[in-house]
Amino acid sequence: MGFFIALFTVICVLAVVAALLYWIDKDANSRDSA
Amino acid sequence: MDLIPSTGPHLHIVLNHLPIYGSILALGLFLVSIRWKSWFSSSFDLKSADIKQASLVLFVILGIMAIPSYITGAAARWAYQGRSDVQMDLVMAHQDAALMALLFLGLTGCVAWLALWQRRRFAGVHAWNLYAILGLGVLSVIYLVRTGSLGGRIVRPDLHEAGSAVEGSGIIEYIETTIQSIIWAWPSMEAAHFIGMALVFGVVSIIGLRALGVAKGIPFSALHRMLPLGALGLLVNVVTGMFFFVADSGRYVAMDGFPPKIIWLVIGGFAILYFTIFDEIWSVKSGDDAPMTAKLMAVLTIGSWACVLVFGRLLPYYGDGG
Repeated sequence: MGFFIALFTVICVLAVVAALLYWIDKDANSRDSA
Repeated sequence: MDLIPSTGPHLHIVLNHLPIYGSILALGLFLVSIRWKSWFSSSFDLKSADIKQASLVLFVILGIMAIPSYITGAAARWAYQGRSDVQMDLVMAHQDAALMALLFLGLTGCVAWLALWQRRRFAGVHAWNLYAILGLGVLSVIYLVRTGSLGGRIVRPDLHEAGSAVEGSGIIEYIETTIQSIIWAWPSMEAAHFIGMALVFGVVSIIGLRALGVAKGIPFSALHRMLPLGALGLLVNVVTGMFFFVADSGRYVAMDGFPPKIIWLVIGGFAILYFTIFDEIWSVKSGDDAPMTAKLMAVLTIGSWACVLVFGRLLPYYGDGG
Protein backbone atom coordinates (compact mmCIF):
# COMPACT_ATOMS: atom_id res chain seq x y z
CA MET A 1 0.00 0.00 0.00
CA GLY A 2 2.75 2.42 1.06
CA PHE A 3 4.60 1.81 -2.21
CA PHE A 4 1.59 2.83 -4.30
CA ILE A 5 1.00 5.93 -2.20
CA ALA A 6 4.68 6.89 -2.60
CA LEU A 7 4.44 6.26 -6.35
CA PHE A 8 1.24 8.31 -6.58
CA THR A 9 2.90 11.18 -4.65
CA VAL A 10 5.87 11.19 -7.02
CA ILE A 11 3.60 11.09 -10.09
CA CYS A 12 1.61 14.04 -8.67
CA VAL A 13 4.82 16.04 -8.06
CA LEU A 14 5.98 15.29 -11.62
CA ALA A 15 2.56 16.28 -13.01
CA VAL A 16 2.71 19.63 -11.17
CA VAL A 17 6.29 20.24 -12.39
CA ALA A 18 5.28 19.36 -15.97
CA ALA A 19 2.20 21.63 -15.84
CA LEU A 20 4.23 24.54 -14.44
CA LEU A 21 6.97 24.03 -17.03
CA TYR A 22 4.42 23.92 -19.86
CA TRP A 23 2.85 27.14 -18.57
CA ILE A 24 6.22 28.93 -18.20
CA ASP A 25 7.56 27.65 -21.51
CA LYS A 26 4.53 28.12 -23.78
CA ASP A 27 5.33 31.81 -24.30
CA ALA A 28 8.93 30.95 -25.08
CA ASN A 29 7.61 28.75 -27.88
CA SER A 30 5.73 31.54 -29.63
CA ARG A 31 8.02 34.42 -28.71
CA ASP A 32 11.43 32.83 -28.69
CA SER A 33 13.77 35.71 -29.38
CA ALA A 34 16.80 33.45 -29.53
CA MET B 1 39.20 34.97 19.19
CA ASP B 2 35.75 34.03 18.08
CA LEU B 3 35.81 35.78 14.72
CA ILE B 4 34.08 33.00 12.79
CA PRO B 5 30.76 32.05 14.36
CA SER B 6 30.39 28.31 14.81
CA THR B 7 27.42 27.80 17.12
CA GLY B 8 23.76 27.87 16.04
CA PRO B 9 22.72 30.92 18.11
CA HIS B 10 25.81 32.90 16.99
CA LEU B 11 25.26 32.10 13.29
CA HIS B 12 21.59 32.92 13.65
CA ILE B 13 22.36 36.40 15.05
CA VAL B 14 24.68 37.01 12.07
CA LEU B 15 22.11 35.85 9.47
CA ASN B 16 18.67 36.65 10.86
CA HIS B 17 18.59 40.41 10.23
CA LEU B 18 19.48 40.05 6.55
CA PRO B 19 16.05 38.83 5.31
CA ILE B 20 14.20 41.45 7.39
CA TYR B 21 16.11 44.58 6.32
CA GLY B 22 16.85 43.10 2.91
CA SER B 23 13.19 42.46 2.07
CA ILE B 24 12.20 45.97 3.19
CA LEU B 25 14.96 47.35 0.93
CA ALA B 26 13.99 45.08 -2.00
CA LEU B 27 10.29 45.97 -1.66
CA GLY B 28 11.21 49.67 -1.43
CA LEU B 29 13.31 49.46 -4.62
CA PHE B 30 10.50 47.56 -6.36
CA LEU B 31 7.90 50.21 -5.38
CA VAL B 32 10.20 53.04 -6.50
CA SER B 33 10.69 51.42 -9.93
CA ILE B 34 6.96 51.39 -10.76
CA ARG B 35 5.19 54.23 -12.60
CA TRP B 36 2.04 54.24 -10.48
CA LYS B 37 -0.23 56.08 -12.95
CA SER B 38 0.22 53.25 -15.43
CA TRP B 39 -0.35 50.68 -12.67
CA PHE B 40 -3.88 52.01 -12.04
CA SER B 41 -4.68 52.28 -15.73
CA SER B 42 -3.78 48.56 -16.03
CA SER B 43 -1.00 49.10 -18.57
CA PHE B 44 2.18 48.29 -16.74
CA ASP B 45 5.05 50.73 -17.03
CA LEU B 46 8.28 51.29 -15.16
CA LYS B 47 10.30 54.34 -14.20
CA SER B 48 13.53 52.41 -14.02
CA ALA B 49 14.17 48.92 -15.36
CA ASP B 50 17.57 48.88 -13.62
CA ILE B 51 16.12 49.57 -10.16
CA LYS B 52 13.48 46.90 -10.76
CA GLN B 53 16.18 44.43 -11.85
CA ALA B 54 18.14 45.21 -8.65
CA SER B 55 15.05 44.60 -6.51
CA LEU B 56 14.36 41.26 -8.28
CA VAL B 57 17.97 40.07 -7.83
CA LEU B 58 17.79 41.08 -4.16
CA PHE B 59 14.54 39.13 -3.68
CA VAL B 60 16.13 36.01 -5.22
CA ILE B 61 19.24 36.33 -2.99
CA LEU B 62 17.05 36.85 0.09
CA GLY B 63 14.83 33.87 -0.85
CA ILE B 64 17.98 31.70 -0.88
CA MET B 65 19.42 33.27 2.29
CA ALA B 66 16.13 32.67 4.13
CA ILE B 67 16.99 28.95 4.17
CA PRO B 68 20.20 29.22 6.29
CA SER B 69 18.51 31.91 8.42
CA TYR B 70 15.70 29.48 9.28
CA ILE B 71 18.03 26.52 9.80
CA THR B 72 20.41 28.39 12.13
CA GLY B 73 17.30 29.51 14.04
CA ALA B 74 16.29 25.89 14.55
CA ALA B 75 19.88 25.13 15.68
CA ALA B 76 19.56 27.98 18.21
CA ARG B 77 16.25 26.53 19.43
CA TRP B 78 17.90 23.17 20.17
CA ALA B 79 20.85 24.92 21.83
CA TYR B 80 18.41 26.76 24.13
CA GLN B 81 16.29 23.67 24.85
CA GLY B 82 16.08 23.01 28.59
CA ARG B 83 17.47 26.38 29.68
CA SER B 84 15.40 27.92 32.45
CA ASP B 85 16.18 31.52 31.45
CA VAL B 86 14.63 31.11 27.98
CA GLN B 87 10.87 31.13 27.41
CA MET B 88 10.34 28.14 25.13
CA ASP B 89 6.75 29.08 24.21
CA LEU B 90 8.16 32.35 22.84
CA VAL B 91 10.82 30.40 20.91
CA MET B 92 8.14 28.15 19.38
CA ALA B 93 5.94 31.13 18.44
CA HIS B 94 9.02 32.76 16.84
CA GLN B 95 9.72 29.56 14.91
CA ASP B 96 6.11 29.26 13.69
CA ALA B 97 6.24 32.85 12.39
CA ALA B 98 9.68 32.18 10.86
CA LEU B 99 8.32 29.23 8.84
CA MET B 100 5.60 31.44 7.35
CA ALA B 101 8.18 34.17 6.64
CA LEU B 102 10.39 31.56 4.93
CA LEU B 103 7.41 30.36 2.86
CA PHE B 104 6.47 33.84 1.62
CA LEU B 105 10.05 35.06 1.09
CA GLY B 106 10.85 31.80 -0.73
CA LEU B 107 7.81 32.24 -3.01
CA THR B 108 8.77 35.88 -3.63
CA GLY B 109 12.26 34.69 -4.59
CA CYS B 110 10.74 32.14 -7.01
CA VAL B 111 8.51 34.65 -8.84
CA ALA B 112 11.34 37.22 -8.83
CA TRP B 113 13.64 34.64 -10.45
CA LEU B 114 10.94 33.86 -13.06
CA ALA B 115 10.63 37.60 -13.77
CA LEU B 116 14.41 37.80 -14.33
CA TRP B 117 14.24 34.80 -16.66
CA GLN B 118 11.30 36.30 -18.60
CA ARG B 119 13.10 39.64 -18.84
CA ARG B 120 16.20 37.98 -20.28
CA ARG B 121 14.13 35.89 -22.71
CA PHE B 122 11.50 38.37 -23.90
CA ALA B 123 13.04 41.73 -22.84
CA GLY B 124 9.95 42.20 -20.66
CA VAL B 125 8.12 40.75 -17.66
CA HIS B 126 4.48 39.63 -17.54
CA ALA B 127 2.30 42.02 -15.53
CA TRP B 128 0.82 39.20 -13.40
CA ASN B 129 4.34 38.35 -12.23
CA LEU B 130 4.95 41.88 -10.99
CA TYR B 131 1.61 41.88 -9.12
CA ALA B 132 2.59 38.54 -7.55
CA ILE B 133 5.98 39.93 -6.46
CA LEU B 134 4.29 42.95 -4.89
CA GLY B 135 1.71 40.87 -3.01
CA LEU B 136 4.15 38.19 -1.84
CA GLY B 137 6.78 40.82 -0.99
CA VAL B 138 4.35 42.67 1.28
CA LEU B 139 3.34 39.39 3.00
CA SER B 140 7.04 38.51 3.43
CA VAL B 141 7.80 41.84 5.10
CA ILE B 142 4.78 41.47 7.46
CA TYR B 143 5.79 37.96 8.56
CA LEU B 144 9.51 38.81 8.75
CA VAL B 145 8.84 41.83 10.99
CA ARG B 146 6.62 39.69 13.24
CA THR B 147 9.31 36.96 13.32
CA GLY B 148 12.00 39.51 14.17
CA SER B 149 9.90 41.09 16.88
CA LEU B 150 9.24 37.70 18.54
CA GLY B 151 12.93 36.75 18.16
CA GLY B 152 13.99 40.00 19.80
CA ARG B 153 11.81 39.20 22.80
CA ILE B 154 13.65 35.89 23.29
CA VAL B 155 17.12 37.41 23.60
CA ARG B 156 16.21 40.89 24.94
CA PRO B 157 13.05 40.53 27.05
CA ASP B 158 13.88 43.83 28.81
CA LEU B 159 13.15 45.76 25.61
CA HIS B 160 9.58 44.49 25.37
CA GLU B 161 6.36 44.69 27.33
CA ALA B 162 6.59 42.29 30.23
CA GLY B 163 4.01 39.64 30.99
CA SER B 164 2.16 39.53 27.67
CA ALA B 165 1.59 35.92 26.66
CA VAL B 166 2.51 34.79 23.16
CA GLU B 167 1.01 31.84 21.37
CA GLY B 168 2.30 30.46 18.09
CA SER B 169 0.16 28.99 15.33
CA GLY B 170 1.44 25.48 16.14
CA ILE B 171 2.32 24.81 12.49
CA ILE B 172 5.79 23.37 13.28
CA GLU B 173 4.35 20.91 15.78
CA TYR B 174 1.58 19.96 13.34
CA ILE B 175 4.10 19.22 10.54
CA GLU B 176 6.36 17.27 12.94
CA THR B 177 3.59 15.02 14.22
CA THR B 178 1.91 14.56 10.82
CA ILE B 179 5.07 13.47 8.98
CA GLN B 180 6.23 11.24 11.82
CA SER B 181 2.83 9.57 12.18
CA ILE B 182 2.41 8.68 8.48
CA ILE B 183 4.92 5.97 7.70
CA TRP B 184 5.04 6.52 3.89
CA ALA B 185 5.32 10.33 4.08
CA TRP B 186 9.12 10.32 4.44
CA PRO B 187 9.96 7.80 1.66
CA SER B 188 7.47 9.47 -0.72
CA MET B 189 9.12 12.84 -0.22
CA GLU B 190 12.58 11.23 -0.51
CA ALA B 191 11.61 9.88 -3.95
CA ALA B 192 10.39 13.35 -5.01
CA HIS B 193 13.57 14.88 -3.51
CA PHE B 194 15.78 12.60 -5.66
CA ILE B 195 13.84 13.46 -8.81
CA GLY B 196 14.17 17.19 -8.01
CA MET B 197 17.90 16.66 -7.43
CA ALA B 198 18.24 14.95 -10.82
CA LEU B 199 16.45 17.88 -12.52
CA VAL B 200 18.70 20.49 -10.87
CA PHE B 201 21.94 18.60 -11.49
CA GLY B 202 20.90 17.63 -15.02
CA VAL B 203 20.10 21.18 -16.11
CA VAL B 204 23.16 22.62 -14.34
CA SER B 205 25.39 20.02 -16.02
CA ILE B 206 24.01 20.68 -19.53
CA ILE B 207 24.39 24.46 -19.19
CA GLY B 208 27.79 24.20 -17.47
CA LEU B 209 29.18 21.78 -20.07
CA ARG B 210 28.09 24.08 -22.93
CA ALA B 211 29.93 26.95 -21.25
CA LEU B 212 32.99 24.72 -20.93
CA GLY B 213 32.96 23.96 -24.68
CA VAL B 214 30.87 20.80 -25.10
CA ALA B 215 28.30 20.93 -27.95
CA LYS B 216 29.42 24.36 -29.17
CA GLY B 217 26.85 24.22 -31.97
CA ILE B 218 24.09 25.01 -29.48
CA PRO B 219 23.59 28.75 -28.78
CA PHE B 220 23.38 29.54 -25.06
CA SER B 221 19.95 31.15 -25.48
CA ALA B 222 18.52 27.72 -26.47
CA LEU B 223 19.83 26.17 -23.25
CA HIS B 224 18.64 29.18 -21.23
CA ARG B 225 15.14 27.85 -21.90
CA MET B 226 15.99 24.78 -19.81
CA LEU B 227 16.62 26.87 -16.68
CA PRO B 228 12.98 26.85 -15.43
CA LEU B 229 13.12 23.03 -15.37
CA GLY B 230 16.15 23.19 -13.06
CA ALA B 231 14.46 25.91 -10.98
CA LEU B 232 11.34 23.74 -10.60
CA GLY B 233 13.56 20.84 -9.49
CA LEU B 234 15.14 23.14 -6.91
CA LEU B 235 11.67 24.23 -5.75
CA VAL B 236 10.61 20.58 -5.29
CA ASN B 237 13.77 19.97 -3.28
CA VAL B 238 13.49 23.04 -1.08
CA VAL B 239 9.86 22.15 -0.27
CA THR B 240 10.54 18.45 0.44
CA GLY B 241 13.86 19.30 2.14
CA MET B 242 12.19 21.78 4.48
CA PHE B 243 9.54 19.17 5.35
CA PHE B 244 12.36 16.74 6.29
CA PHE B 245 14.08 19.43 8.32
CA VAL B 246 10.96 20.65 10.16
CA ALA B 247 9.89 17.06 10.94
CA ASP B 248 13.24 16.18 12.53
CA SER B 249 15.17 19.42 13.06
CA GLY B 250 16.94 18.25 16.24
CA ARG B 251 18.67 15.46 14.31
CA TYR B 252 19.58 17.59 11.27
CA VAL B 253 21.22 20.38 13.30
CA ALA B 254 23.41 17.77 15.02
CA MET B 255 24.74 16.39 11.71
CA ASP B 256 28.26 17.52 10.71
CA GLY B 257 27.46 17.15 7.01
CA PHE B 258 24.46 19.48 7.14
CA PRO B 259 26.20 22.92 7.35
CA PRO B 260 28.45 22.22 4.29
CA LYS B 261 25.42 20.97 2.33
CA ILE B 262 23.54 24.23 3.04
CA ILE B 263 26.60 26.43 2.35
CA TRP B 264 27.08 24.77 -1.07
CA LEU B 265 23.33 25.04 -1.74
CA VAL B 266 23.52 28.81 -1.18
CA ILE B 267 26.62 29.12 -3.44
CA GLY B 268 25.00 26.92 -6.12
CA GLY B 269 21.80 28.97 -5.96
CA PHE B 270 23.68 32.26 -6.39
CA ALA B 271 25.70 30.79 -9.27
CA ILE B 272 22.51 29.97 -11.24
CA LEU B 273 21.73 33.72 -11.23
CA TYR B 274 24.80 34.26 -13.43
CA PHE B 275 23.41 31.98 -16.15
CA THR B 276 19.95 33.53 -15.80
CA ILE B 277 20.73 37.22 -16.30
CA PHE B 278 24.30 38.00 -17.40
CA ASP B 279 24.81 39.48 -20.89
CA GLU B 280 28.17 37.86 -21.67
CA ILE B 281 26.82 34.30 -21.46
CA TRP B 282 23.45 35.16 -23.08
CA SER B 283 25.25 36.45 -26.17
CA VAL B 284 27.17 33.19 -26.78
CA LYS B 285 25.97 32.10 -30.24
CA SER B 286 26.24 28.80 -32.08
CA GLY B 287 29.95 27.94 -32.54
CA ASP B 288 31.12 30.64 -30.06
CA ASP B 289 33.55 29.92 -27.27
CA ALA B 290 32.14 31.07 -23.89
CA PRO B 291 34.13 33.75 -22.00
CA MET B 292 36.51 32.68 -19.20
CA THR B 293 34.16 34.04 -16.48
CA ALA B 294 31.40 31.76 -17.81
CA LYS B 295 33.76 28.77 -17.70
CA LEU B 296 34.76 29.53 -14.12
CA MET B 297 31.09 29.95 -13.17
CA ALA B 298 30.31 26.62 -14.87
CA VAL B 299 32.97 24.85 -12.78
CA LEU B 300 31.72 26.58 -9.62
CA THR B 301 28.07 25.72 -10.37
CA ILE B 302 28.60 22.05 -11.25
CA GLY B 303 31.09 21.69 -8.36
CA SER B 304 28.81 23.28 -5.78
CA TRP B 305 25.78 21.20 -6.78
CA ALA B 306 27.97 18.06 -6.72
CA CYS B 307 28.94 19.01 -3.15
CA VAL B 308 25.25 19.47 -2.23
CA LEU B 309 24.56 15.94 -3.53
CA VAL B 310 27.58 14.35 -1.86
CA PHE B 311 27.07 16.00 1.54
CA GLY B 312 23.35 15.25 1.31
CA ARG B 313 24.04 11.56 0.74
CA LEU B 314 26.70 11.51 3.47
CA LEU B 315 24.48 13.17 6.10
CA PRO B 316 24.13 10.07 8.32
CA TYR B 317 27.79 9.03 7.83
CA TYR B 318 29.97 12.16 7.75
CA GLY B 319 31.51 13.09 11.13
CA ASP B 320 28.80 13.02 13.74
CA GLY B 321 25.84 11.76 11.70
CA GLY B 322 23.36 12.96 14.34
